[in-house]
Amino acid sequence: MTETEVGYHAIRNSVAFAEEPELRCLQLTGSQAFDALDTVCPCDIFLQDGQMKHTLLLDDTGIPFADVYVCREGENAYLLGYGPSADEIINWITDHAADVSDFSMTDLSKSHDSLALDGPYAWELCAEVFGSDVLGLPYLGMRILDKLLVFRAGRTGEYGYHLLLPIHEKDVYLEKLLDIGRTFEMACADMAVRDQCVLENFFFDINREGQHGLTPLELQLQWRLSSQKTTYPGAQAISALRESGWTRRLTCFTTPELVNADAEITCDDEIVGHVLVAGYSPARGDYVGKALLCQPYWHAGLDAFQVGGIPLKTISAPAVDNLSLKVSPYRHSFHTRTEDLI
Amino acid sequence: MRPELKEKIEQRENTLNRVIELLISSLQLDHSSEELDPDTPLFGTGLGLDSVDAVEIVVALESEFGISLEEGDSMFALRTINSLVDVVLRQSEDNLDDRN
Amino acid sequence: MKIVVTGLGAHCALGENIKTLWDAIERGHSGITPINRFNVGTFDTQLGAVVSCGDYYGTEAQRLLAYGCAAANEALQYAKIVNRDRVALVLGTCNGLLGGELHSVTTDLANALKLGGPAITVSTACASSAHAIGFAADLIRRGVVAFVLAGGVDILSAEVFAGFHSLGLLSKHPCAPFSTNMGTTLGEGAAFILLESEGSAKARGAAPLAEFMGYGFSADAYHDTTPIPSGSGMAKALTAAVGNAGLEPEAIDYLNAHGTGTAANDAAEWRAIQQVFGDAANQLPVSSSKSFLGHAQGAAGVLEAVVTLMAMTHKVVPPTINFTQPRRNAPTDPVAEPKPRPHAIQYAVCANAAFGGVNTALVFGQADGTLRDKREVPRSISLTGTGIVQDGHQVNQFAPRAELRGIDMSARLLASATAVALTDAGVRMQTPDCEGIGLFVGQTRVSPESAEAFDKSIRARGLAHLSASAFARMVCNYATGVCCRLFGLKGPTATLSTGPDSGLTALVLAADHLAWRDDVNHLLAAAVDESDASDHYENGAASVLLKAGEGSASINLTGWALATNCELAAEQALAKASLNREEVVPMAMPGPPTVAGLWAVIAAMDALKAGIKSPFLISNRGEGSVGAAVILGTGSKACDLN
Repeated sequence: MTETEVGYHAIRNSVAFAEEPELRCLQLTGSQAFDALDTVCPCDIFLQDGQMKHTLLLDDTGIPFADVYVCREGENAYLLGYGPSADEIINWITDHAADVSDFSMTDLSKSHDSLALDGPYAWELCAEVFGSDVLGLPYLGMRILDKLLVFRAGRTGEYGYHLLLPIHEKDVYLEKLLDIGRTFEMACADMAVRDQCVLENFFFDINREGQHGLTPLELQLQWRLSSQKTTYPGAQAISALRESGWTRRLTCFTTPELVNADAEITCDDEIVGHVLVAGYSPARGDYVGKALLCQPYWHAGLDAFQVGGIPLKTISAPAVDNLSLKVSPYRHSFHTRTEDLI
Repeated sequence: MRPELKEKIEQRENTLNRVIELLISSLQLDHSSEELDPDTPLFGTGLGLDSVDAVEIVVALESEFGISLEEGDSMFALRTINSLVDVVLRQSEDNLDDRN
Repeated sequence: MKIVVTGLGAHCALGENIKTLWDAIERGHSGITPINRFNVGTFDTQLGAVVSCGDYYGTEAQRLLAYGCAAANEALQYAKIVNRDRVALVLGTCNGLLGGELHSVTTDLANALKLGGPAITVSTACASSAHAIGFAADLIRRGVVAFVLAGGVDILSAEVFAGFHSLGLLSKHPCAPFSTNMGTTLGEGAAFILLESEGSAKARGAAPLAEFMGYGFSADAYHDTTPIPSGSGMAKALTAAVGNAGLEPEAIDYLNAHGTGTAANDAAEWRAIQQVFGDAANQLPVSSSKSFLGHAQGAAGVLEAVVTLMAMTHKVVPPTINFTQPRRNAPTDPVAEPKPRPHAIQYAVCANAAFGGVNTALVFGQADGTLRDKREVPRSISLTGTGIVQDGHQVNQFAPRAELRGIDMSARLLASATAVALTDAGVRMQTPDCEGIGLFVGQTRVSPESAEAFDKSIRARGLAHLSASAFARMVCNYATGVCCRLFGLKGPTATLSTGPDSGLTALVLAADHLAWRDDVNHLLAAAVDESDASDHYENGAASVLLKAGEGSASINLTGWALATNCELAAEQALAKASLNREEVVPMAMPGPPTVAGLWAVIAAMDALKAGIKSPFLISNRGEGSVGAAVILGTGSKACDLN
């Protein structure tokens, strides 16, 4: 197997780790930390202790420029995600939350390194390395264990953890992780492998489809927006678009051969959209991708399309059935996976 | 557009709309139907539904569409609004086949 | 004052009395069998732990009362109580008759038993009777009454069976906590323990079975039906109970777990035990009596306390039966043996948890145990925030964009009043400020709106397809749980009823809890009523934030009392405040019955804030089964005298 194949296999069947220098994490402190988030985020900021919520940061035209989670831990707020640099995000928040005074932001990447663990048995490895308290973390939950910040999220459709480790303690944890990880057949998953999984699971990728100037409505990300808030950055553009309606939508598709990004999609010789991103799906044995399709062709379950001579079929997201859905920390273990007969 | 494609799109759209309306009414969702994109995840992230909601969805699908989800299938059928639509369409096709 | 247990009674799947119960446990014989009482053919499990003679009663009301009377009479006879005038009843029941007035179960039982003391209902789903035991001990400590019959009763109905089934919580095999077969088996029954002071037991020559040493309550503030996976809520209750008993965790040598057998409960509970007991958790015997008794709902807590007390007297720990293979992340020592294990218990803990995110823990000790000194002087209590609402919309205003989906009217009303009270007191929601705040609520029944939705789903779709979300709202403490979850309140919580003016009873119990305990400094006392088709009720809720110590607002609760009737309560409250009747202004307020007392309290506070100097007396109207009275004033001399 190539290194990519090994990494992919680990994410889908055991557990894979990756250093994630591209993950941004800001800590917001002060009595108005949540007011600041409420001002700049398009989602409803009402979080239980330890709860994470998936949202976006939008520019004034309603286009997302960052794919983020907002979190509460005690009195502090956290903003975790992908997009521009931490400094750029801090400056943007400072500009857009100018009326909110009592809060300050810290870029945790200056003091912490981040590791990602993904896979159907990521929970079990995490518990062995970082302590069984990790098992008490629900999906979209965060906790601080000792000096370690643990966020349970992930974009691969498997159990996923983002761990922020104090820089000077990283090596100790990493050594332990690699050591115990061996018994889990843990592999390293580079960015290409993780992107492949993100694609299969139709998770939003700010660096791919997020670079095409599309609104959350076209990206099928309205669930990340509040249905009541009217004052966040980009809100006017969103409500204008809701008013006028939109005519194209990001749709998941599959093809038997690889198709190029930007390739035109036709239906009976009429151009109905184009490919934004595509790639091989090892789980399916064919190719999956995201296409921007016009109304009324934007539905899943249609096999009437072509790219060049290649047939293209739209499908419901996600494109794969993840093993993690069947793996339960109460019943299963990586070490007995063959007897578990999932 | 070819008539059979037009029919297929209409069928998809109708089923999608019915599933969305069913979700809104049975789960008392605080969203309008336009705000619910077809590939919206149902649990955890997405609509943030929980296991109690899952039971409601299964029962509502059964009452509204007369379809039953086998225990093993339901976790995959309940991933997104679109995956529910797939199940509804698939089962109504099966029912048609049975009658023919 | 030491509180001792001098009587036990039980009527459950293991037979009609304590002797049959203990014989079964000694033989390792489970009470779980196929259910014949109602049709379970359409479900994928037919098991239950039902009272075998229970099938013969014509109605559910008769069954409920019969179980309660049998167990209560046994406990009274066990304790050799002759004069029942001085016996109070604190009854925990989850469902009563599903959807009805819960307190009528308690008053019917008290009347049938000819008890002369106050009667209080606690309804915190499957933790109800454990809560009842905690409150019962407080009634004796405060001298409200000499004897308390504390316990619970619930019956297994087809609706409850179908509800648990719909939530996927029932096991196809007899409930096997901590073992690989997951899910629970429902049970039913009644049990009571008789509590009195050590002095009283001595004086009348009664032999104590054990000492009741302390209790702890907490809220998860997480989910309506799922425990917080970290176990932090249960850990908080365990810590509070052990602390209240004046013990260190190492002293505990047996833990009777809630151990329902469900994946979520058992894992969270073991995590909690590990947090509280540390490495010692690996040596601690942790067993679940639900493997014998099934999950007896509101009666579970007291039935398990009875098993624990019997085990203590027999110097054994009861096992967890039906056990096959150990489950992952479960207790190291689940006592997975066919019969009780010889093991002398000095101190035991009984843990319970429930829908609504409620946790309780009770500590029992050998009657000859030594006790550390506890607080001898109560702390003073000030009132720092109030909320009155008549509609449920204010929660949107004070907790904007909170997740309110599917929340019924009672919960909206209670949350609205509580949001107003917290805001009034300057408490920011979902912050560490809220973590220590508890919530005691007076509420007489589940939301009529939810009861109607539940019934409608059964009528429309049949039992097997009832609405799981409506079923999850069919516990009286649902609204309390919603408030805890919305605002992040994780302190002690309870939902109770004493008929009209239940809110005032909640206030007095909250004041007492705060005044005498060191582990909580803020408690909300609240009440809610929801209108229904009958026009007997109207929408209304009230919430008052109490603080231990004098507040900046300087309005204090200078006296409070519970008693057998309202005149006596008023007298005792006045005595505590060292005031005469002439020195106080009686305050009454019209309003929805459950809430009116608290509305009067808030009206009195407003008058005091407006500069009126004389203290106010608020007492209930004598319609309920307990007298409750409070004195509000700007002074604090009462507390010095206590």
